[in-house]
Amino acid sequence: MKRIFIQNSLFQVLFFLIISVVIGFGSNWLKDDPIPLFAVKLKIATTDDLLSDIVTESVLRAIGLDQARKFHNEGVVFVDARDLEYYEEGHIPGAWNSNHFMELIFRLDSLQGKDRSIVTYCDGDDCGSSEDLAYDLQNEGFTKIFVFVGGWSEWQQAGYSIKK
Amino acid sequence: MRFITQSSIFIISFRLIIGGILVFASLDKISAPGEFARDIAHYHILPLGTENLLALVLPWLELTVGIGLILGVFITGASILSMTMMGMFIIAIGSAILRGYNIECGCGLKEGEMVGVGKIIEDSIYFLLAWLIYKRSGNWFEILPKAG
Repeated sequence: MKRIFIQNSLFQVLFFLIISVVIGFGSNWLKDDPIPLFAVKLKIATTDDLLSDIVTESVLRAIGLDQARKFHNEGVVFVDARDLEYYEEGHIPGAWNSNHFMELIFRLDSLQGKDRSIVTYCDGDDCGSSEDLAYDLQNEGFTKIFVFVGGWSEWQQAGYSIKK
Repeated sequence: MRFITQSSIFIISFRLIIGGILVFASLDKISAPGEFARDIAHYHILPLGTENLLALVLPWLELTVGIGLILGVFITGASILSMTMMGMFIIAIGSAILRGYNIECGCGLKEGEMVGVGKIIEDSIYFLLAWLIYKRSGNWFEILPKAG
């Protein structure tokens, strides 16, 4: 009887599924920094996030085109999260490329420390690498990071200056 | 195809290949589920923030199924789940390509690997190997359930 049971395909599939669910949730629960069970979308930056010069806590927020343009005019550092070949084809003027991450961290830290604003961007709404880069920078201790969600596509469509 | 499913050498090799790939692919995802969840989110397929649930379970499923294939535990179930996972990856990558997304694959095999037709072909080959394992005609080096 037991033999027939464990030869059953459904039993075998459920065996792997149940073990994975238990270990997956269990290991997350035991971690010091567990991820929430449901993802929270990146919040849009509020006025407080944008104005706070004295950082009390780490800020990682999304911004739109207008705010990105404002930051650009104020000389905030922009970091292009796209591959180098796309960066070389064209990018937001003054933007740095993120392909050499350790070098990027060193340059950012030397130039402005870890508590000044940084804007990351990639192709547009769906690319995701700007958000990944933002989290990587946050993990390295940078405290004010803004993700320009519309990215390169929106910047170009708006007709703002670009660098080739 | 019968000569393949009847060959212990082929089937054991396929088990080691698929098992090895699944185990290797799971390691980065297990160590950084948050990053993997963001990779899943970029596909814009799952609703209501459920990418985190998948990011917590899928890597462990890859690991346990991979170990099962290598050690010879519940090979039928492991091959069904391998086919299911490869099928899911093919659909996800295909839908991303059709929608024009230029996103990282999040496959866990190579850092920065982007979605593309090459990935679909690769996963289709793995799907085929998993199917051949499922159709095997002998229980070679399977420790559970025992053959015979």
